[in-house]
Amino acid sequence: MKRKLVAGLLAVVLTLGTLTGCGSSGNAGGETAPAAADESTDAGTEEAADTAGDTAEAESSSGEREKVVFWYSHTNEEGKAFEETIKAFNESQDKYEVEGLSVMDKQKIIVALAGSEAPDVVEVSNQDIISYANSGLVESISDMAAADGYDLGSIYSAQALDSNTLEDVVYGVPFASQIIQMFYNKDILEEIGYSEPPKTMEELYEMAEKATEVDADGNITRLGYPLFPLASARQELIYAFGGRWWSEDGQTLTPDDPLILDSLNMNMKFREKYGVEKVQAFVASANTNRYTENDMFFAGKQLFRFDGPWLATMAADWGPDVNYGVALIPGTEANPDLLGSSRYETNSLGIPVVANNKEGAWEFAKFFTNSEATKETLMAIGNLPTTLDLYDDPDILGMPNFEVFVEALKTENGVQYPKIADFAKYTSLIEEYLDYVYNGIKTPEEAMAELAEQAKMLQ
Amino acid sequence: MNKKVGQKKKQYSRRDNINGFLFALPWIIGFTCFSIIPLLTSFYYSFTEFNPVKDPVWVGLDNFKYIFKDPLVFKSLRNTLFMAFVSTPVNLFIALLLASLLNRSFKGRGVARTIFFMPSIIPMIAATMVWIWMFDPTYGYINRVLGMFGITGPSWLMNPAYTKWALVLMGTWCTGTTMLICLAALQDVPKSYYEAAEIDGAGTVQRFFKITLPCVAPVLVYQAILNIINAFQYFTQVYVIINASSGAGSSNAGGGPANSILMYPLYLFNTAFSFMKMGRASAMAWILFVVISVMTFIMIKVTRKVSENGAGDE
Amino acid sequence: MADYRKGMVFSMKKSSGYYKKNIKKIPVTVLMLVLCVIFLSPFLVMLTTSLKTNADAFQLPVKLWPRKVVWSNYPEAMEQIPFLLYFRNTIIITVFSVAGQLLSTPLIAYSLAKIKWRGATLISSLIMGTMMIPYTVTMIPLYRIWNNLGLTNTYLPLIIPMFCGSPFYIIIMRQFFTGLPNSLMEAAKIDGASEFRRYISLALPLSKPALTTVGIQSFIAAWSDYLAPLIYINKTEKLTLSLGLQQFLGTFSTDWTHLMAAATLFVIPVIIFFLIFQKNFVEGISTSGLKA
Repeated sequence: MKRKLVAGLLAVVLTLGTLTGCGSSGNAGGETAPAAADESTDAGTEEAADTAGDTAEAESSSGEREKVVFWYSHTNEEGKAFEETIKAFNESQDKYEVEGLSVMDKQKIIVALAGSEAPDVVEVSNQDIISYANSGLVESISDMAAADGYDLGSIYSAQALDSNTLEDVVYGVPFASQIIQMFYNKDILEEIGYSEPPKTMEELYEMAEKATEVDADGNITRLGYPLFPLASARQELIYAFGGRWWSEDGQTLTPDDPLILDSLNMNMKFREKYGVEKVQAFVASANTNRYTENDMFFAGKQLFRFDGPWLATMAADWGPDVNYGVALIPGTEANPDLLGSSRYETNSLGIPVVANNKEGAWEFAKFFTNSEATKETLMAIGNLPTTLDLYDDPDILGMPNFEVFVEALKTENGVQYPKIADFAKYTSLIEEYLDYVYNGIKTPEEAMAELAEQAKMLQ
Repeated sequence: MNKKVGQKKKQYSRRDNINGFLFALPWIIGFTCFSIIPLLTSFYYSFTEFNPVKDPVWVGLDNFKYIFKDPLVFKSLRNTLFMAFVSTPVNLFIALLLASLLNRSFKGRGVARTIFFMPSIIPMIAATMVWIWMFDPTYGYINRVLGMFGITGPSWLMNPAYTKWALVLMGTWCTGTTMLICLAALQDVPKSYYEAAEIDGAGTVQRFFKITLPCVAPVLVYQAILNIINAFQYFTQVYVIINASSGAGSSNAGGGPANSILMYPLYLFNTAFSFMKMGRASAMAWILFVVISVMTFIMIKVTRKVSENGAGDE
Repeated sequence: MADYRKGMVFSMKKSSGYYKKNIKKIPVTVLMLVLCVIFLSPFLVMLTTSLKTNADAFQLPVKLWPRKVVWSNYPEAMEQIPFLLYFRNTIIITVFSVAGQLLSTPLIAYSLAKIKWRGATLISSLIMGTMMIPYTVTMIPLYRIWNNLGLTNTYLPLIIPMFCGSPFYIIIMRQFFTGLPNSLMEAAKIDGASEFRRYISLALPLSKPALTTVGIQSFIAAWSDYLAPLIYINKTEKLTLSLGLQQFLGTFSTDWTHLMAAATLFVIPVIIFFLIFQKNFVEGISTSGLKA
């Protein structure tokens, strides 16, 4: 017993001893080379704690294929589609062996990108790519493409590249386009006496009121106005009126845009008619069961839904009974050509600066975003293309409702996010003031004036 | 220690000094590595800008200048102060109430104590998820129960006017530790005091304010300090709530409805691990450290005063 | 411990044999019952929701009991995340953390309570001081150190600090050692036993109750820890249960019934442990809180 204790103590003191040394060098703040530290410490620590049994032997055997680690942010059926593409890549050549891993938590990804065990290539949103680029975490794709003689501009659509560009350098290879359009429940529309989806927000409002139903206590049982999902209530519902949170060039913030107020006033007219609290309760519950088989839209409790093409893929699984159509998001009477206004985002592949195998990552990124397999993956997960040649691909256009989305894509006028350093903070402030309005705490005018005041402090 | 009294010169044997040092060595090493060095490093970092792939670059007071201009810093500080100074008294009140109820004999007293205490050992993330589910305005049980009494419950986690109250409510469920300590304190109150008061004809309320409260006041104040320090570290609950409503890790700067549950530690965490502004986050951490130290200092002064007053009343 | 029992006796005496108080007691009993139900209800909700089908959970009116009990949520939840792997990871971390605390805490506490040496008072006050340092202050430098050592994604950043003792547990142990009679120690000293020998053969065997308290508290703390694993562990196969639970909050949707099943499985070991060692646990908290 005693001997054991002494031995244990010794072990502790020894481990701590090494730590002290490193701790003080951390104080000096200059040291780097995590890779070297990795090699020396791993052996000692492996049996103590690191039992997950992972093998980091990419460079151990030179004759075999080089390992490329790929993290993607999809699971389940979508994850399987990704694995298929990975398999296709591994079969297409014999230099690299890609290993896929589904990592959903963006927080985890960003920490990993800065750590000693980063993936070689990672699939995230273009917004993440830009924020990583701002922190210097991802490689310049422009440079890699130039070195390889790969002409990005002739392959990917201009807005897809734009959305992954920071200060004229492309940092992400766009894989899938994300835009929002209007889903509507055909049965409800027919029930309230219409045969065609609305072309203006004014028409939409009229239909929304007719479609909304409440129970004896005033609880909303069917929602007409597209107040859910939360993200499109913050964006597309504003864009449809021509309102913009920032100027076209992304240099100025414009929370005082009067068209935003038009949108908010209509929004509040609806909320006040049915009770601000009642509407919020419906939206909160819609958020709780979003994108499950109990989703309000699949359950026939929502007339309009501003959502992405993935909703159609999900409807096939979970809402087989819902009879829906897709149309462009309406414009306004004053400005009917706003039809189809939406944000434009992409899913992109980025290569971390700390990646071990950047050549392999780049080869895979090209294959993943621009090959026959790309089409298969996009179709399997119900996402829109970024490459110009797929815009007119009959298989893509043959997907349910894709012609509406591709039509919107081709206009190349999706709303791009500004690339200012404080963008995340600005979004957070926008959401904050919209929440004040939506909960009836502040009038739209008050809220937007205060938002404009606060936005002045951002960089 | 008693032996020291009367001996002006401290006389420690060499052997005891060596033994004492060796026995305390794990802590001394831990203190150096995990408290002092990081604390000082953090101070240095607060004047730099860096992230894990970029070494620290000296930026002078830039971080502090930015922080004092940032509206979200003030917002998060306000939210945190709310938790510290609204949630703490509520928790203490509930804890004391439960403790007083347990401080009498009745059948099933032990069971009741177990039931009241159990929530505080539940992993925070699991507890939070259950509460999120219960807070749902349509499918949740809280509004369902309120509805039975004819009350229409709010959208707890959607309406910024209620989100923090939802957190307060959640907090009262986990107040078991404070309750146990209150209970122990109540049981330490000499019964002769109560007997004397009963002879004087003092009522229950009077007895509570004249005897019970002064006797447990020092313990309460100490618990208040711990509760407040905990409130300044409030993180897991809001992190989980925000992830549940917007998808895991999807919103980099999320702070719940109208940023109403953006707590200071959460904002700090986001600044460091989402925005990758680790220098700025260090500066935020040091501001927090100073605020907590000042507050603790004040509270300790208050405690001394309370104990002295308590002693005076006797 | 003694204080606690005294309290029990005192409260029993106070209210025994007072007939007129019996009437007053009825509302209190009702109140207690109501409170117990309220405090139990989240557990109940967790359990019953875990036995519902998804459609049942979202069917109005809301019912507490499942309309149809389904057990399949449990095996399914254990497949949706690699539950057993995370369970194992969590156990590894927990075992090492508890061992670390049990090894170091009594040593440190002994040096503060039973050895008269130069640093004892200084260290005692420093320990109180470190309790005031928020984790967020040391978080970033610590992360940088571990990251530069290449030890993120191992459990060492979570385990090693536990071998240095936590302030709270040291206080509990010190309280206990202070209560041990000095005469025993003195006798052994005269017999020529070394300090370490006295610690091992006298102090430690006597301190089983306090050690149990520290053991259980550190078990629960390690089992439930969230922020530290969140920062240091980001490899899917190395996650702990508390992080694994979060995977049910997907990017798109949340699978509530399976989440509740996984949460139940996560919580059960803690509850069992607590119920077994309840007495020690409660005493430890009561004493540390009162006298610190």
